[in-house]
Amino acid sequence: MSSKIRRSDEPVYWGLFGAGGMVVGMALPALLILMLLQGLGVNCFHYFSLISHWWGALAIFVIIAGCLWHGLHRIYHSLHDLLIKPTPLHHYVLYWGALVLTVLAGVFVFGYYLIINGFLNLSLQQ
Amino acid sequence: MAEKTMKISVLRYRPETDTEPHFQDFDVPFHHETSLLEALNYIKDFLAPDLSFRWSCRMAVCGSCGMMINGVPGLACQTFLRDYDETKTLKVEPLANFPIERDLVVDISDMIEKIERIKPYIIPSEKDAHKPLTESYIQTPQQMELYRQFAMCINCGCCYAACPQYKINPEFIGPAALTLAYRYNVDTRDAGAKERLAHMSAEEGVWSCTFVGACSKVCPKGVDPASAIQLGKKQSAIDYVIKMFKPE
Repeated sequence: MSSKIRRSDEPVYWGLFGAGGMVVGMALPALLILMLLQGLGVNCFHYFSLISHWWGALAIFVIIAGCLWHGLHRIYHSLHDLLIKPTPLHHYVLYWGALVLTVLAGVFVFGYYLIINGFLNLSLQQ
Repeated sequence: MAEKTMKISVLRYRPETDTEPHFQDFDVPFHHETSLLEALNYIKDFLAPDLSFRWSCRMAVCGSCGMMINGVPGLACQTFLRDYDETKTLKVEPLANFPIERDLVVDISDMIEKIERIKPYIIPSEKDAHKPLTESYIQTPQQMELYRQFAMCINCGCCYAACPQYKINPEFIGPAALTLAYRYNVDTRDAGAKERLAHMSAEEGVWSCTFVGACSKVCPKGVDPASAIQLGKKQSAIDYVIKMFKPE
């Protein structure tokens, strides 16, 4: 019997969920407070200038991606509490959703980084 | 101390006469030291001789008298009537998530099969397989501390009755069995982790657990199955990465 047991691929999602949880728990509140202060006119930092550094862009991307993988994994495993029986369809929609949104976040964050550093010129006037 | 009386409502089911389980109330006199197990024995001795329930040791060692007490799984021998409001009825039911065999007796064969499946015993390494019985396995207190609390399990089934994941998915290997799997995996005398990890890494293994933690809350022996399963997830995830680069 033991030779025929199918291995679960959950470690992948669980790993991303765990890593995302660390990010959500630690970096996101700090970022939100800084953004709130910025919104209130306290000029302590400018998040667009953060993206102009490659490490800042990477940090913002990791925070967004971490939130996505953490949150959508949690939603998947909470479906039962919402009286929805999870099916493979839910699995596909939520995890492909996380992947697509992660790619989009990457495109926006790194695209912005490339544009403001002049590596990429999207100007329509030639 | 003057004797008081408590109304105990017991879920009865006698397959030869009852079509479905139903509650029967009993007035049981009790004093400060009366356990629920003694109260059930009082019912059996004086009120309903045909009441069936499992019990043996009376001291939370054998794990036979697990039952739902006011909806919470626990051992009858470890539960004292003094801790409950005597003006209210105490509701006693068989362990949830298991089929009822008769009255408070449930069929725990599913849990037993799962405990057997994960091989809850020391599997010696190749080198130790032919070790003479006169030789000992040396283990430091720190090495023992890795598994000691998880070895306290008495297989009472309370964690299975509490587990919402086992309730919705009976294929789930469940808290006690996964705890024992982890307990033997981290035992320095054992070399059987590979065989157990195959079961732990399956969909119905550690990955069916969503860390609700009800098992750890109700365990009458203070074992923390939820923590053992999380540590088991770590073992399984590390094994997953190793197998990615080094497939068998």
